[in-house]
Amino acid sequence: MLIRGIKSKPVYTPLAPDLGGRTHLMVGFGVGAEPLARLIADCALAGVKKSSRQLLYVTDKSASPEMREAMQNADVEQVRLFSDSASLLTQFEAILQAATMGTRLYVSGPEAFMGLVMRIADRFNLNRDEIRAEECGSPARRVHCIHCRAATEDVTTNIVQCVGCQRWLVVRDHYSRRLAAYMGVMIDAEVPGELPPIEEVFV
Amino acid sequence: MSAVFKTDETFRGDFKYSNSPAAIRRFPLPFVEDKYMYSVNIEPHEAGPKGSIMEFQFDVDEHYIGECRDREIVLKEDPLRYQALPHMMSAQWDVLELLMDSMSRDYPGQFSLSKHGNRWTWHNKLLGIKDEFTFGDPSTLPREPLDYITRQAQGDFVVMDQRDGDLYLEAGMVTTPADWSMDFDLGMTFKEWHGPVPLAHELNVFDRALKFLLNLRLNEPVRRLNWTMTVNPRLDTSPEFYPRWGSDRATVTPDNVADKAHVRVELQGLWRLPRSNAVLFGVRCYLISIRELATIPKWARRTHRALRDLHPALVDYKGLTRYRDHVVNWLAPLDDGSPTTPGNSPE
Repeated sequence: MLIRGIKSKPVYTPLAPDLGGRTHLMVGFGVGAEPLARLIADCALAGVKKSSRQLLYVTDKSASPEMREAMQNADVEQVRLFSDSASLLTQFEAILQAATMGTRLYVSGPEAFMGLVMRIADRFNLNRDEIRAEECGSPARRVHCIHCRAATEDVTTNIVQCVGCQRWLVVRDHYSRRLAAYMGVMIDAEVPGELPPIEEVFV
Repeated sequence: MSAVFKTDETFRGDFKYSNSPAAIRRFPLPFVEDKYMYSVNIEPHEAGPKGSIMEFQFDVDEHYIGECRDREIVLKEDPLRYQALPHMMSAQWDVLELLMDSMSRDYPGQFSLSKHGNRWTWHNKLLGIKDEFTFGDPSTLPREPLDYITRQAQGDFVVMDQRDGDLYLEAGMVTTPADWSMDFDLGMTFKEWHGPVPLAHELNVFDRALKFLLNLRLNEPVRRLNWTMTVNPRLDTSPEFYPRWGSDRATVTPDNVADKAHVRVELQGLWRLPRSNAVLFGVRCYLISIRELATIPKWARRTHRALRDLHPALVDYKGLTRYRDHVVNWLAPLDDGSPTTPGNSPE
């Protein structure tokens, strides 16, 4: 798998307290609980005030029951738990709308989730040095169909059928932050029906 | 140059397109030697010989009307081929000014521009367009300035905003791309945008190119040639419409290759823009069939060798896998092994 070779995919600094921040906004999904738990402990050690720490977290079965409980009882000012990423993202956007200078964002979870969070952060012009992120969990991709512009979620195979136009798309190693997705391009346009074997590659 | 402007060319459907003998002789063959590999082949965009495609900043040739018409067709179907992020308005006016000044100065018989303070009058005689507007006030033009002027120019245009030591692709008109999508790439940094290009990253081509472009100076534009091949004289080889043109590649046979296969050369120009400090990237596209190209004996030999020995990763990236051998085989009898003179001129 070519994760390191993808030039269009941003690289972020791993999670660690940024003492220059005044508000520490932590956002996670499923297995992202583990790096977040570590971060929260490090924040306490580094003297980052509890009142400046906020957590948004999607409770997903990819995290162990212990980790989910740790998130629920996290040592932060406010914990908000969600059952899916869509509702977390809505809340996240509302928080950024009201955010002030000095906000630091920490994100942890599978890459497709991180991409969606980063896309919103980009819209609010958060700088790269105001964001720290750690990828963990499923490398399944979100794929943007270049032909009909629909997004197919949770793609684990080299070739996938588009949810919008039903074409078979090859997933290119080209990533757009603005669309929070990889590019999907019709695989059998040259000779219809000529599909290479479909393989699980993003697992 | 005294081109006769063709009025009925098409770049789709019946593909009514050809180059006059004069247009063939001025074609910018991309192979300056018998072997091709990437290089940072950037040079000053200075006035070239009279009649050459580099005589002026923005070349207008016999295909102008057909190319503008083809752009309108693409935009009607896929309006997102033109996009500009909101903060790019100042750069849009920069581009409009650069194009109008250049075209009216270099082709006074076809374009005229008069300025009375901020009241400008633009007359495009080839397309029958005449508009009076206030420079700097978008409400006085029928479209956004970049949209307006690039519908009246040949080639694609991309505008890159310069900040944080990088160039961000944040506006453009792209209806004739060689398999890249501006809609997908909008907002990307220079290296993200060029991510899919093979080999070149490892050769540090983009590091050096970016460094060079960040220091690009006003009134010192630069240029380079790039190339690929296209089946049929089709300008819109976008990934968006790939389902339509992808099958063309499987239609090339030894019998039709000389007329179907085209070398597609991009004259890429880069200009620093005065108010916005953005960089304009122009991609002016030239198409020539293998049969037309082979009317120049040196070019037949040169192209035969360059394509025959092309790096496999480039064969794949340029989409030549299915028909490269047909082209090479058709050119082979025209290559007697004799040396070629340096440079790409016809001889």
